[in-house]
Amino acid sequence: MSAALAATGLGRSFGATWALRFCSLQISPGTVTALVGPNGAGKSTLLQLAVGLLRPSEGSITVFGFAPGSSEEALAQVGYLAQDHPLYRGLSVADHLHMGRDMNPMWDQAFARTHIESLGIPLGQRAGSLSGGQQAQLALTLALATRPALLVLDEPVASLDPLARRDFMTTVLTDSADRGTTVILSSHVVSELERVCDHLVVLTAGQVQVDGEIDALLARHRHLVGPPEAARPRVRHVLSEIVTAREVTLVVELDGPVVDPRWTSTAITLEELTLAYLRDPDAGTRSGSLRPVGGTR
Amino acid sequence: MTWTAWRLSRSAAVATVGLVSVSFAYLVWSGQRLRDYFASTGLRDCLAGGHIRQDCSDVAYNFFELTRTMTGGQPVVGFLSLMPGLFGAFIGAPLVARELETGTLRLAWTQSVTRGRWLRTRSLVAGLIVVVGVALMTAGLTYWRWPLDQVDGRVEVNAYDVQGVIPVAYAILAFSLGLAFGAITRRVVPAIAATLGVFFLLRTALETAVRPKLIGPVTLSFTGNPPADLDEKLKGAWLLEERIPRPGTGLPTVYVFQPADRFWPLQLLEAGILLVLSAAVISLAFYWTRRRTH
Repeated sequence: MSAALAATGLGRSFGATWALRFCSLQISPGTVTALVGPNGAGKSTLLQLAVGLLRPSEGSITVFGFAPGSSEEALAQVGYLAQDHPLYRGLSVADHLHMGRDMNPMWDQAFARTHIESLGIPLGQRAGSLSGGQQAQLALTLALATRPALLVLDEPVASLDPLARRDFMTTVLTDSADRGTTVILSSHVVSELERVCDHLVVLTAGQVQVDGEIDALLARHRHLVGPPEAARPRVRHVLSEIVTAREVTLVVELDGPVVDPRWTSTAITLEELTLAYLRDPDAGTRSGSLRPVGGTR
Repeated sequence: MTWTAWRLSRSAAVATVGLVSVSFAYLVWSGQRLRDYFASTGLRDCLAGGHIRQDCSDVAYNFFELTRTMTGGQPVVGFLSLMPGLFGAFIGAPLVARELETGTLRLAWTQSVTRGRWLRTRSLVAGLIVVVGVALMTAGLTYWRWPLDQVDGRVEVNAYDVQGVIPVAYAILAFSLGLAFGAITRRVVPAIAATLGVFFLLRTALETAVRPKLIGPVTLSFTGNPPADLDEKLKGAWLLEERIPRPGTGLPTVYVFQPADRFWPLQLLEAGILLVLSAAVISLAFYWTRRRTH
């Protein structure tokens, strides 16, 4: 089966500035990928390229083998939820579902209605008068009911309170588990992703810095604490280093086991790992192989 | 896609129905009075006897004096004659621009409908509302103007502009301009402003520079006594130029005009030009929307 998403040398410029460049990425079907990066890293640009709202300036991107947005068949592969979950404010919830049915051959009306009702959203209410959480849920329902093979969510929970956040992610994960939907979601809040996602892509300054399976990444990256006089262990590279008089704390990507018993190795959280990479934009790991991404510029 | 296009244009349709209803009510009420004056002053019978306005000048004077006392009358009708431009601009310009402004295009363009089909369906439905609205308005104005047309004919500017196929064709041009400016400026208010500006510029240019020459005008020139059929020829004509020399100079009298029976040929030719222009502008709107990113 072809990749859910494949990008090769993908770039997109706005005027003279590149929002995204030299981006190569493969996302396997059925995975849930977190796209993480600081503001302005090119996350939204990459996602808009994936759903066909933008065209590449250079390189190529395909979604299940289709050029995004190129045909109705290509569009039907993708469900998209934009950052501010846009809705027609003057239209009712029922109108939105009718619209979804009208514009999507694969539309699942039974699911859409049941889901909206289970959330307690009144069908007759105008979208503009729904709460923020309800609007996000309606927009997500519209995206899910098109029965997409790839669901693209741009900062889906940024504007939601913790409860709405949990409900929202539960809906996404249930769908992914039930139907094998591939999900890509962008976020700059890393803390909750560990529970939700199985793949991580870190985007910095328009380039892919980290790309890998979360479990493998967490297994490979460790905190090492040892005395200052101990020889530095052989690792693939050191992401951060804090030296005090008594001890040295490192965040490293391992190359093999650490043999020196003076070093204590502890697990790292996804958030710590992500932050370490974001602080060190020249470090890069791509599916296990060290690649100085900064050097390709 | 048709349902969605209709649903999103529904408020425009409701506004159109409201505006057309109010205008119709006025035009029928006022038109009725115009007809009453036309008959009661005796102008109708005078003209029916094969006479021209000059022959009936006394009763014509009475008739026009009475029309001046009417509520509304020419100013209202003058305002209604701006409708094609206003309709086209106010329905055409927001079509793409409002969705860009509110961000809903990101919802619309990620459904399983290509941008081309989206714009085609949306503009057909909205365009149909414009066409039907302006056609009904034109029918009302034609009814209202009937007595005046008996006096002055239909090729002269005030009559010509609000009748036949021209109003609908101008509305289509304004709508197309609105569509294109909406896609280009991406903001509703600037799009409407640009549309109205360019539309009325084009309309004035076509009216003053192109329309009189669409079909070569007739030139009638004579020295001394006018030919017997002069009045007949000038009846209901659109007089473009009139040169009457001082007596005794020996110079010829010259009339340049579009005869009354050229109403439809002129209308169809001008409508043809407008539709070609509209097609070009619509192509630009489609090109821009497909290529355009937001």
